[in-house]
Amino acid sequence: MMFRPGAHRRFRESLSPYLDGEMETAAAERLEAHLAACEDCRLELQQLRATAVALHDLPDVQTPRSFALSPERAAARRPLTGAASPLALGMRLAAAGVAVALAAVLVVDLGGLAGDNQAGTTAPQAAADRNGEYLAPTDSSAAPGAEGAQTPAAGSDTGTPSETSEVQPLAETGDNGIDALTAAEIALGVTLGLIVLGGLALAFAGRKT
Amino acid sequence: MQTDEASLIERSQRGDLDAFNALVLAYQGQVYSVCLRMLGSQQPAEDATQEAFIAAFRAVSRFRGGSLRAWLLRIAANVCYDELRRRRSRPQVPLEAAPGEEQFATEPASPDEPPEERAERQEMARCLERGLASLPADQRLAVILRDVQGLAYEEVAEATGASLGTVKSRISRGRAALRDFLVAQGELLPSRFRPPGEG
Repeated sequence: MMFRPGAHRRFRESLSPYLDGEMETAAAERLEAHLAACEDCRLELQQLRATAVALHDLPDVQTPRSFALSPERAAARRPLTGAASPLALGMRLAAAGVAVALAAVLVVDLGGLAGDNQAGTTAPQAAADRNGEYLAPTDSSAAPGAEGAQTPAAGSDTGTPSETSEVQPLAETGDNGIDALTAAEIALGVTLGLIVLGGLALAFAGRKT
Repeated sequence: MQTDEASLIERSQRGDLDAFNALVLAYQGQVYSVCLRMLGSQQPAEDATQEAFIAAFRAVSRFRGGSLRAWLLRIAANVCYDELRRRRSRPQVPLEAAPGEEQFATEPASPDEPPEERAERQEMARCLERGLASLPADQRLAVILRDVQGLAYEEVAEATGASLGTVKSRISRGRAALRDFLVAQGELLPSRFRPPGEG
């Protein structure tokens, strides 16, 4: 008799739970109906049953010694076996270092963005200003100090055109902020690279030993 | 028996090492047997068993009832998984040490058992151990706990930290793979494992 391959496969997969009485009654009845018509499944069920019986009949393993704990063993801080290898320790340290460095980069980046927002200007604006490529913005919400000397500062407190002397300190502040941020990111990037290289070196050293 | 065990657990939780060691003696056979079949050779199995009982002693105050056997076997299984992971990270150690015949005890010869039947039974046992060692660790553990140790499905789930559905699947796949392994060795095995038509 031919069976649909999908249904036949599902029946085969349920042979073990059926053998152990771990099937619901309705599902077991459907399987029994299939078994009545499927010789392959009957043979497989018979072989699975024989396998389970043979496993159950395996001779007991004799314990080679007592595993009762001595007071010293019970009080030991760490298990006496299975200490981490230097390689595993090195890889864990490297992974932890990478995680910390990534977290630091993220924090510095977010902190830098927040700082930019508070200053009411953006780094590209300040950089463009410094290079003389700045074009006067038409957006009235632009930051008061970043507009340059020719443009009225719509958002300024006084409502008067900004003077160059007022703009310069803010631009300088922005530059210093960028430099510090960039330097911090470069330092963190270098640290990250060194940690990864250190981990790789440890891995190769561990393989050689 | 249960009352005795409950009393021993309670005393162990208060730090009574003698009471805990009574539990060790009661379960060390099963724990060692699982470790041996998971790791394939005697010394790693001894180390894992000892480590499991040390860990259990440290954690027994947090045992909140249920099957102590399943709780102990879960600790032992975790120790075995750690050891298998260590082996994978150190390729010079064989991933699955093939169990040697000397690793698994054979029952003493019965005077009533014909020599050929005894030889067949021993060959079957050796073949089964090799088949078990060839299974993926999750399936091997599930089959050992269910078919060799005789745990109920719920207890296997407790001992492996897996859902009942996962346990059913692992037992089913593990047994099927083991059946295939035995059928492939059919020349050496009883007729019930030989394909039809081969007598």
